[in-house]
Order: sequence, then structure tokens, then C-alpha cells
Amino acid sequence: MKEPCIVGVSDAKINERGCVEELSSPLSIQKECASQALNESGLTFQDIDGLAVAGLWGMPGPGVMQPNLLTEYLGIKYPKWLDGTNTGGSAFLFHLNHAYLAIKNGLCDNVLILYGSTQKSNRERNFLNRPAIYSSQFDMIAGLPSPVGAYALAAQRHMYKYGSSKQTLAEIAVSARKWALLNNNAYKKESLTKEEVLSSPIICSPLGKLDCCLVTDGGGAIVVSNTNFKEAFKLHPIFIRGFGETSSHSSINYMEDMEILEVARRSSKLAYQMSGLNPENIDLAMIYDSFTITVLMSLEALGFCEIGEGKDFIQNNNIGPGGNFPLNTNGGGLSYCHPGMYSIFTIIEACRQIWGISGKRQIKRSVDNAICHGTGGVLSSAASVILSKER
Amino acid sequence: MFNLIKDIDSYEFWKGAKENRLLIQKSTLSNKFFLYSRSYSGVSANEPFEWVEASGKGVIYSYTISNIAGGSEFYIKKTPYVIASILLEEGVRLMSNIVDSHHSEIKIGKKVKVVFKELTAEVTFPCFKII
Repeated sequence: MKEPCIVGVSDAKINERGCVEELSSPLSIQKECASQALNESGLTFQDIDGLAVAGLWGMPGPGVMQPNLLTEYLGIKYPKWLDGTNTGGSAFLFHLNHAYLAIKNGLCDNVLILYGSTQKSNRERNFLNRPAIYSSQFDMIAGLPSPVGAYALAAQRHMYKYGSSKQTLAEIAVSARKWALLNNNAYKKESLTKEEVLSSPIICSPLGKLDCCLVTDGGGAIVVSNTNFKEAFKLHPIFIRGFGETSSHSSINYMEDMEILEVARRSSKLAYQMSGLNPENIDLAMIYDSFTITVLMSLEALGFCEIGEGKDFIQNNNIGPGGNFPLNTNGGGLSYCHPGMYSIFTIIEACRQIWGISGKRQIKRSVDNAICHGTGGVLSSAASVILSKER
Repeated sequence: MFNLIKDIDSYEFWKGAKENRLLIQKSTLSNKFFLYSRSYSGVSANEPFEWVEASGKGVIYSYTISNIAGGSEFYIKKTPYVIASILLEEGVRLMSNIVDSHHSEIKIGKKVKVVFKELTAEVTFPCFKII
């Protein structure tokens, strides 16, 4: 029985301004990352018969149909399987789940999951005066900045209910920066203190500038193949042991309890059940850190501590380099890069850590099982994937 | 100023607001209230529902004081301003603003009541003040 596996990954190089090479487009970034990931895997473009892509580029316009455009641009001949699921920044973990099912069920053999963004170079992050429609119309008339205002409402609730604080969130930002300093491709290269985080300008209370993810360009590629192709692989294949996905709302106001990340509880529960593993078996957690509060709520929801106890869990450099709980070892969206939709980078880093090729930031102990977890929208959707060295 | 597009789901809500009435919906089967406004029962798709005027009283469920403008250029010169999720007495939440209140008074759980603010000639919005 053939078993789906990840055999190559790549992330785009970003410069000291957080931008990709001049004149790059989201398409050229994806082509470049795909080439590098395929080269790492031992497979070629000719082997690819499935494609998954999500992004915010090219809209309105051809970007509305990104799978068609990428098929054309990359010259993939009549792929047998396509996925353009867009659940926000969590999308690439949804793609990985779906690619696993497609390959396992014989729909296709080798899938590229792709992402590219030039949001920083092209200054694409002005969200004002978009049409106020559907459930978001009420948020927009109230002037809720999206997404930061929504995460601020959740943070305020979390602090009120569980006694977490600005200090708690600052500790998370500092840990991310410590990891980023060990990653040559990280945008942020200066050290960061808790005091600097606490004194950064408030954007939406209680969240300050340094509680927010970066705004950079970037991109990535994942090659998902299966054991029938193992003769070609250059690296040990990484297996997808379990996954889960769900969604609950579009506007933050319709989140059941703003202080509990129920979608992450559910997606991770499914992943643990499918894999037969539990939080104690996880050697590395790659958690989408759109904001510091996202990490806190995700750690609780993924079962690494009880709900409300994240504030104690993250203390004393527990999640920083040298700590007991390796988290976001690439520096995360807070300090490595954040091109708009981040979850593909959780997969890329988890694979590199499992392969033992993460250089200065390589975790000392063997990484047998890693969880990748992504949040999309405003704490709206969630996908969890457990990657393992062994099937 | 606001690029608001009313449709079959929200038309009644905005019409009510214009008349200084905070309209919410209620399932006539389970008597449960729901928001945001929809052209069907938000409790269960096949239930009958009616529009009712809310008491206008509630508590702050969560809030943020924003130093940046969101949603519309309307807010660029309004910073800092307060956005809050209001838990109405009827048990449903409405995204709104806290107005006519000192920022230092704003806390989760504080009691509030509705005040209608004419934001533009077209849009009147149910905002809330601390009582």
C-alpha cells in the first residue's frame, strides 16, 4: 500500500527589507520555490500530477482562479487533482490534508503545494474602504481593524478570564525573536527584550506593534509524494500521521467563546486520534503565530497545557532556544517572515527539523513527531497535521 | 464614506437603525434570539422568525481601543476610538462602539445602553454608552 509522504520543501529568500528579489512576482516566487523543493526531493516537474495553491495575489482578476494560472505558468500537463481551498492563513495545512487523501486514494501521485506573495514590495495591505458586506459589514461600520482588532478582542477576553497579561504575550514575542536570530533567512536580525515589546506602540489594546506578525514578502513549496517513488528520494520521506481541520466563523463576533480556540481543539483532537499520538509524544510544535495571543490560545487548545494555563507554560524561556518545549524554531511569523498566509512555513520548518538540517537552530534531541498547526482568518479556521519520521 | 452594501440579510437591521430602533431576530418556535441579521432563522434554518426591538441594554463582552483606522477612511481622524462586542440582554452579541464614555471606565462586564449615532446621511449605527 503506497503511503503519502513529504519529500522536499523550500522557502523563498527574503532580503534585509523583508522583500524578495526585485521584479519578482507571486508566480515567479512559486516557480523558484517549486524548483528548489523538487530538486531537494529527487522528483521533477514531469512527475507532478497534482497542485494545491492559495494566496491573495491577482485579485480581482486571474488570481480568483489560482490553480488554473499556476497549472499554465508551471506548464503542468493536465493535473489529475487540484485544490484551491482558501481558509485564510491555515490553507496550506488544509491542502496537505487533502493531498494526503488524494494520493492515498489513488487520484494522483505527486503534489506541489505552493505559495507566493509580494505584499510588502507592492504595499498591498490597505484594507480600508473595501465593500462592507455579509457578516463583516457590522465589524466594518464599527471600524474594527482586521485582523488585528479581532485578535485584540480575543486577547482582552483571555486576559479577563484567565489572568494572562501583556507580560505573557511579550514573553512569546521574545522567544520567537531568539529563534529568529538562529535563522539566516529571518527578516528580524536584532535581539529583542521584554521591555521593548511592552513599550511598543499600542495598535489595538491590548496588542502592541510587537505582538503582531511581520509584513514581508515570501513564499514556499512542499512536494508531497508517496512510497512508490522511494527510489527517487534524496531525503528520508516524512509521513503524515494524523490531521484534522475545521472552521467556525468569518467575523470574530460569532466565535463561540472568544477566549477559547475551539476550532484548534477540534482539529488537533482529530489529528491526535488519527495518529494514535498525544501531546506528550510531540517533539516540536510549529504553531501559526499571527499574533502573540494566537500562540497562547493555540498552546492551550492543542493540549500542551490546560485552557487558561498558557501563561505559566510559556514562562522561563520554556518555548525559546534551550527551553523544554521547542516552538516555532524558524522564528515564526513574529520574527522570521509573514507574507500574509503563513501556515506553509510551519510544514517547511517541521520537515527540516525532522531531517536534522536546520543548522544553528536544530533541536538537540531527535525530532520524531512534530505538530503543525494553522489558524486562518480571525481565529476562524484551523488545521492540524502531525508529521513523523516513521509511518 | 462607508462602502456599505445592504442586502436581503441586513436590509431590515439598517432600516431599523435609521429609525433609532435596534432590531434583532427571534425564532418564534424556540423563542431564541439571533444576530447577525439574516433572511432566515439563524437558530435553525427551517424555523419561522420575527423581527423584534431589543431592549437596548447589555454588557461589554470584549473591547479594544484602536489607534489605527479600520473598515473605512471615516475612522482615520477618529483615533483612538473604542470597538466593543456587546452582549445584549437578549443573549446575542453585536459589534459596536462605546461612545460618550471615558476610556478609563471601559471594562469587560460593564453595563451599557444603546445610543444611536448618525455616522453619515445614509448610515445610523447603534452605539453604546456606559450606564
